[in-house]
Amino acid sequence: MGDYSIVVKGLTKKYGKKHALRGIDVSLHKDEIIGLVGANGSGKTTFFNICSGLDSPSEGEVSVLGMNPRTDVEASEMIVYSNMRLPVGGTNRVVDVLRYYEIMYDNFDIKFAMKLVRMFDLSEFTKVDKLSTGMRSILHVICGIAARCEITIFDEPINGIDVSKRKMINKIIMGDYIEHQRTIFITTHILSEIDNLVSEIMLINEGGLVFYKGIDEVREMMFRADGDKEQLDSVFDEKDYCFRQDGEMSSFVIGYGSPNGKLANDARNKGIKISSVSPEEACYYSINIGDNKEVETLWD
Amino acid sequence: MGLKGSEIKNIKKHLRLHIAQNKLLKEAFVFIGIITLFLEVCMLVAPGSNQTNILMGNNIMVFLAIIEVIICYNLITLGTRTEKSMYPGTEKTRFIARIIFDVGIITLSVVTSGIMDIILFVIVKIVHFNSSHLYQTILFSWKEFVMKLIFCFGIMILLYAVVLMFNSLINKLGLIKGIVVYAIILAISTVVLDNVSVFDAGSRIFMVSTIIFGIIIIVISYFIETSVRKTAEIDRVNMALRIVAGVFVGMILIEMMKFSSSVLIIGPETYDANETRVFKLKFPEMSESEVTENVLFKIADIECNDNCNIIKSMSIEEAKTEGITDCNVDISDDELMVVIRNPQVEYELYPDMAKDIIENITVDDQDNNLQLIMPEKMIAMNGFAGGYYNFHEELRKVTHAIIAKRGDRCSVAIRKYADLEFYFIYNENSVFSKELHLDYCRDE
Repeated sequence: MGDYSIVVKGLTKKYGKKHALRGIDVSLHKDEIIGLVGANGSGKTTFFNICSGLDSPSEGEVSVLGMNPRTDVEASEMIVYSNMRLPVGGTNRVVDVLRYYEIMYDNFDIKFAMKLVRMFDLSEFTKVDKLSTGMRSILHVICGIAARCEITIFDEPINGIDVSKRKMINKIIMGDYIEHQRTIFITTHILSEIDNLVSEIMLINEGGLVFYKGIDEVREMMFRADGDKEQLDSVFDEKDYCFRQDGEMSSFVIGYGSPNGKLANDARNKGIKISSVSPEEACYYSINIGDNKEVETLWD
Repeated sequence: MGLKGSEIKNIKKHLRLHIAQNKLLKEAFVFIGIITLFLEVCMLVAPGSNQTNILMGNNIMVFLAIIEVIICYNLITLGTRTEKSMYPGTEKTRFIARIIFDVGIITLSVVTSGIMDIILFVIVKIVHFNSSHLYQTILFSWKEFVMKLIFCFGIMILLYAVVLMFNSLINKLGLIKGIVVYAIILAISTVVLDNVSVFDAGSRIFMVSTIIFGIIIIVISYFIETSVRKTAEIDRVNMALRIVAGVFVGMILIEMMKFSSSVLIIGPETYDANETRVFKLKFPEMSESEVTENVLFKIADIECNDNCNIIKSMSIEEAKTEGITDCNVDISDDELMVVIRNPQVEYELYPDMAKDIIENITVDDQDNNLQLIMPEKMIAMNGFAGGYYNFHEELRKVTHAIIAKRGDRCSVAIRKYADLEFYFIYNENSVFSKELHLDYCRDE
């Protein structure tokens, strides 16, 4: 337990007959920045709602730092959940929201929060409901960072934020993590935005756990092989790849294994061009959504 | 309860958060203030108003207003539960913090209501508004005042507990089971209330209707919340609940208007001794026809002489014979008869009545008007919702002692209409018995 921040066993959540989570078993490491990745409606938010004690599981167990987040107040005080969808009271001003966080979180660094507010040109006295979507996201991120909780959860932190500010936020999260090491979870469906930030990735799909791996491990999970059809056929069996696309000019497969592994080297030796697959693409192909045949049939 | 140190600390944090965050606290005060003020103005300008009306209206309306505020508050905070849950804490600590906070609001609301009463009292004393017959003797008794506040507080806590319980039942058991269990509890409570003499019929009806209305609102809010939860658009819940609460408040304002208009027609501005006036007296447990059949009194022939003992009652048939075909004044619920007495006669009839009452009554029969002037402290304060439970203690004691001999329980209230004192005698068991009182008066 000592090395894990969150341990879940058989975690299931049902809304009526619909399963939001299906028997997830996973032990998430401590003091890492972990990306929780999944498509829309895959259960990311539900997972963290339960882990942060906001919701209760239908079945299974959740342990946060060895405690039950639903019943142990110590556990709940070690978690900050930054979620743009949680209303902070629209008529409250930015400064009010910071004050509420300061009341509730012992380690909340109000000075640091104010620095960030000014850095992002957020007016302290603007009412929250007057903020744009992006600015509201930034406010939530600021609160999450400045709370300095042992477990910090950012749910879709970069929603609606422009590119330059996204980069700033990533930098700030990383900087603050280095200064105040803790476990940070970031949920997103755009992994490319945070793949240089996270050290581990947990992928869920349709409420089930697909994998939980280190980012380097994910980078080594798959490779792309580009060549002509015959070349690919000579190296790859169906079991060797998760996705294949054949075209008139060229074809490619997404093969299992490292771009420096035996299969990739065999392919390379046959003149096939081997390239690495980004973590985002690896996730993308892992849940078999690479084949968009349905889209292609839309205009038939 | 077994609270750990960390839980107590968390509860304190939540309380601080509520206080810092909850603007409704201020709104509640403003709301109560406006309603009370509105009420006071209604009472102040109403023709024929008198101190009893004012205090009665004040009691009822402030009571109503506060309950509505609490219920609206409860509904609104239902919508912001998620808002609160974004901060650290467990269900237990949040729940305890919220109850403490709500009880605090109730207490402060009661205190605010009390302060408004005192302000009114002072203003009336200073201004002497419409001094010809209004507020000549504004009454104020600390004991009654405190009793009123305690009663207000008790009832509100009771209602709050009911709403809270219903919420919890639904949360724990689901909507259908929650309603079934709640209905059973409500039925049992109603039976119990029926047998508790401190609540009269009006109070019970009022309480039960408030509770039922609360249920309807909560059920609606439950559906709203459940339907939007799927889309996680929690703000919409908040907004919807605010709309519902707004409608609720609107209904209360209508209630207030109705109430104030009913106050306006109580009593004549001045009493014309030669005027024949018919009071139709309503009694909640009687049907309209029964009331018409049995409870029609004519106050007439007030020839003010020393033997003025001027209750004259008649049945509907007698009234028709005398050409009285219509009842033009509603007084209020639960009042069964009107007796106007000459103090001398009174004294004879109530030999055990506290002497200071009698000794301080003077009679002014100039200008053909009978005027009984009683010391301020002898004018009984009214109670709640048509009942009269805060009578002057001695008066009630004596009356009960007399009535007890008859094996029944009755109470007496005094109201001052214009320049006349009316004694309202009614049966506390809400069993109308005109003959009882008439006989009693005659027999004694």
